[in-house]
Amino acid sequence: MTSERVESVLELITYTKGVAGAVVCNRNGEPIRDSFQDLDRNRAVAYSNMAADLARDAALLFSADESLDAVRVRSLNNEIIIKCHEEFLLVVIQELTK
Amino acid sequence: MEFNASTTNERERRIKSVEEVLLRIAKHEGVVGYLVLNPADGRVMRYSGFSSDERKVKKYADKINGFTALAASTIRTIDWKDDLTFLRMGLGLTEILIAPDVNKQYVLIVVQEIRS
Repeated sequence: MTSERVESVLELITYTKGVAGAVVCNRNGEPIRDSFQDLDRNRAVAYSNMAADLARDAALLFSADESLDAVRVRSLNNEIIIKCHEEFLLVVIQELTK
Repeated sequence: MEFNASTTNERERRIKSVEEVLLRIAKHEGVVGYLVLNPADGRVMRYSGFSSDERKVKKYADKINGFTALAASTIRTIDWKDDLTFLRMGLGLTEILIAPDVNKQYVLIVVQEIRS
């Protein structure tokens, strides 16, 4: 069953050490499924919007033969991994250990 | 400012070590080229590789400067105390690595090809 597979992969990602959470959203930045351990829905919305903005901007900047597959955005506190699909974006937030 | 020999030597030594680092990057397997940008105006301060195609270099400079600014902006939107430190983009067989300077004086961009 496809949805069971998706759920198990999301769970696997979420409970990986250092991962704060994961979101699946559409290209408009609307979260479809999120799995933050701290159960903060606002974070899911914020990261979905971020991912959608970056994916949209990259699509405008680069030509069709250079479409964006993935972005990794590292900041002082986090690393955000965005995996792009035609319709959906998978966003994984990792906390950086100091 | 006091201008003495040790200051000059220190500066020359630092320039030399930067040159060595950049050369090592340029020679790395799969690296198409690198460029160093001034993020304030998008000007290319220095580049190497890209088959010396200046149009291609300019293309990358313009696109990446804007994208980097957007990424930094989205990070600060989520947490105003946070800041962008590194960016990595996968575009088909090409990968672009972007390292902004802490003081925002330059951005180092490396473009490499992924071997299948």
